[in-house]
Amino acid sequence: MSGKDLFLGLNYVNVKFVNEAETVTELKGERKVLSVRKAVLIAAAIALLAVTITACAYAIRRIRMNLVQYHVPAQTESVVIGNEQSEEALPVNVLTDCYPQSIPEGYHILCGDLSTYNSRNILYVNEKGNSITFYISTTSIEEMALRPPVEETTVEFAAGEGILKTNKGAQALCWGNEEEAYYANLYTDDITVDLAAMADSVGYGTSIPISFWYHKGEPWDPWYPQELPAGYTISEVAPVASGYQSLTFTNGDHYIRYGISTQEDLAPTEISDQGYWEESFVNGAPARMKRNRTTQRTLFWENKEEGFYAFLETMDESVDLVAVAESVGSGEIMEVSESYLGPDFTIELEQEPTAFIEWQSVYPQKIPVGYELEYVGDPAYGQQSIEWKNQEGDLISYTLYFRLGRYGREFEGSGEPEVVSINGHTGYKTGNSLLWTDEELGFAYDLRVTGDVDLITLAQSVAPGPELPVTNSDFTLKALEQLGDYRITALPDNMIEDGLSGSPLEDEDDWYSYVRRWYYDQTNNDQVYFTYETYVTDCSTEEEVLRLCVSGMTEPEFVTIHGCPGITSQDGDRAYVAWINGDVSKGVSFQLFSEQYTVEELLKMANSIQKR
Amino acid sequence: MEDVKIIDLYFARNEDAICQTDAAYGRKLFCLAERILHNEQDSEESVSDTYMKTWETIPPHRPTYFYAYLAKLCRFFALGKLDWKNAAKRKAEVVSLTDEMEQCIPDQRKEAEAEGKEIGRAMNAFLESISQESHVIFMRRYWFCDTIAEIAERYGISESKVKMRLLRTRKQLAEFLSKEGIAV
Repeated sequence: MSGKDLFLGLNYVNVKFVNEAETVTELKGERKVLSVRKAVLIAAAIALLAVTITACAYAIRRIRMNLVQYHVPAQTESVVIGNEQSEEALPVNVLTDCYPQSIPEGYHILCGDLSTYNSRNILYVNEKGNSITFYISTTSIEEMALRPPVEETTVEFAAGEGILKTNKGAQALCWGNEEEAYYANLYTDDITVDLAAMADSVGYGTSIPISFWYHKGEPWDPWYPQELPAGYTISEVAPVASGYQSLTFTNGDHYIRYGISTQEDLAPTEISDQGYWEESFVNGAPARMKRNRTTQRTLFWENKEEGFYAFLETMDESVDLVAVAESVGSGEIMEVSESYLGPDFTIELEQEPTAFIEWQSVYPQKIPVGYELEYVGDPAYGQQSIEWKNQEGDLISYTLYFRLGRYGREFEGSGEPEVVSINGHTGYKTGNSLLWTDEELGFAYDLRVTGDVDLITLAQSVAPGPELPVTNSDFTLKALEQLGDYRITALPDNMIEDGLSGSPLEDEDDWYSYVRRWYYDQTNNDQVYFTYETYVTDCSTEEEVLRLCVSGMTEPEFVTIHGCPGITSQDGDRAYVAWINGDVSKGVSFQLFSEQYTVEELLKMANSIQKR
Repeated sequence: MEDVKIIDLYFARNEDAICQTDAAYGRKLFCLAERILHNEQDSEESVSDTYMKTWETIPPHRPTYFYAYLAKLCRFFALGKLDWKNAAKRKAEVVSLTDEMEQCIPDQRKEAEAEGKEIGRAMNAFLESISQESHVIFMRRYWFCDTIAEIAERYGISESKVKMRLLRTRKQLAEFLSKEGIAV
């Protein structure tokens, strides 16, 4: 089975899932087992570096920047207070020290590894071939999926309560522990195991390494190929899971995949055995080579002496799989690839939602010698980008974030940043990029360079300056000329236009142009978006065209606005008003949207719109 | 026209059923096929094939979710027309999607041959057992081939949340396929 098979197989899923994905417009969110407060978890000993300043200063901040650390530190936690970073020894580490202190009779610990930077798993097995997996995370619940029909009950134990799912041959229990700041689950294919009792025993004990594998009762380093064909290097190391690990090697064009298990024979079963088999030998022991219709070959063998099963697979015809297999031996432990572990660090930006923050012409004032202004973007969509370039092609890219919206911004996976101070403000420097905020102005600044430029000095020069001419300002002007300069004339008190962007028809064949205007209430940041744009459709009725304007909205009503066919829709907080000036095949649609104003209020604004 | 009325037209063997289907869903179906094929002509053919198959199958079928029924047919025809060898050259999203899906397959299962219907059954069981948020985002990405940005926009969540949710769901699926999934 390949990714393509899985992708094609999705065509056979129940049509109700297709329907749900098409019709659901608001996500209900993950069901939580317990009301474990996110704040508590975020403060979990190993998971977070929080930027903290005094409560007094917090009250006036209009923008917040948090550095979330997912990468598990060895045994220390970094705490940033103001601009000073200190390191403190941690008494415990949830991922390495917190696990079941009592396991069912007949079971022993087999292996464990990271699942992501903030979660890990431990596998217990018995002689009958049953297993129990313990999963613990400092940030999220991972509910175990069981094959339906599934029975679900709430179980209580001393440490709290959890949800127990059972089906014919498996059971899974998940719970959260607010006091110790973790989420956990237990899964087993042994229906005789009392998972609640095992969950009850979860607590702190002797530290267990993040990655470990026990074999024949002793810690064991998994074996892997020690000699690779010329040009091949390791490209991916998967975490150890269920007594199994896989590695991938590549030469850029082809791959060699290697898998090793101490638990089960990795060769396919007879039912799926549709390849062409050849007998082979690895170090004198019998092995089997499978070929399929392509150039793919897979070699399966068992090392009885060391006690493991393994396979090697490639489509590279020049690779001698037997030779690679015969080189398999003990080597240095390899770190799990980052691609399996999710982002290591994330910088989160969020603004006070009710604070109106107006764009200002603020940018670096001391541009290094040799750099010329290359591009100035519209201060639209809550941000403005400016670029400078030198003759060598090196770039200085600067973005001012003045309005982050409800969901803020996240910058993830760029490694551990260096904490710096920019004119008294905390900043995070990662390689050639720097992110910092001004809490009083409510701005965030992102500065990136490709050449040899002193980022800190450049950042310290960011200050108000003369307004720079927007590079594509003629785009908006042309769009206004083509579509007309329409404005809301009856704006609510305190509301101002604070954003304008447009794009004209570029040539005779082009059919799409637009003008967008943003309006904000300066006292509470309430917002109204006004867009007018061209449309071309093959609809047969005006209602169909109007429905396209408020796509996905429930129970729209059809109205007349400015003598034109219009539509309104109130979907929870979201209010839409739209009308079209044209026919069913082409024209201009006008749309107003707000999450703070109602349809009735938007209708008043719509009726006040006039062309200048 | 309401779905129920369009389906009634199919039952009445009224050819206007196809026109009404096209008016209601033609654009969406074309977009779905175009996402997979990156080719206008093939996409149009996929939509036409969809209408033909719908005409042949209704009656006897009376689909509860009409658009989902059409989309399923359209996806099937589009994937049938996809030139997998040249998909990468056309920068078709399906290439990266199949790469992402590859991560869901436990290595023990990679050698196993599995029929589409068997995979579908396993996927049903999996989707049934995860949260709505997870399966809706998963379907938008791997069934409708939406981009991360489109999913974030659709549900008003950040792109990194979408990516994280997909990463977790893929891990869950890998575990599911490893422990509970396809019988080989």
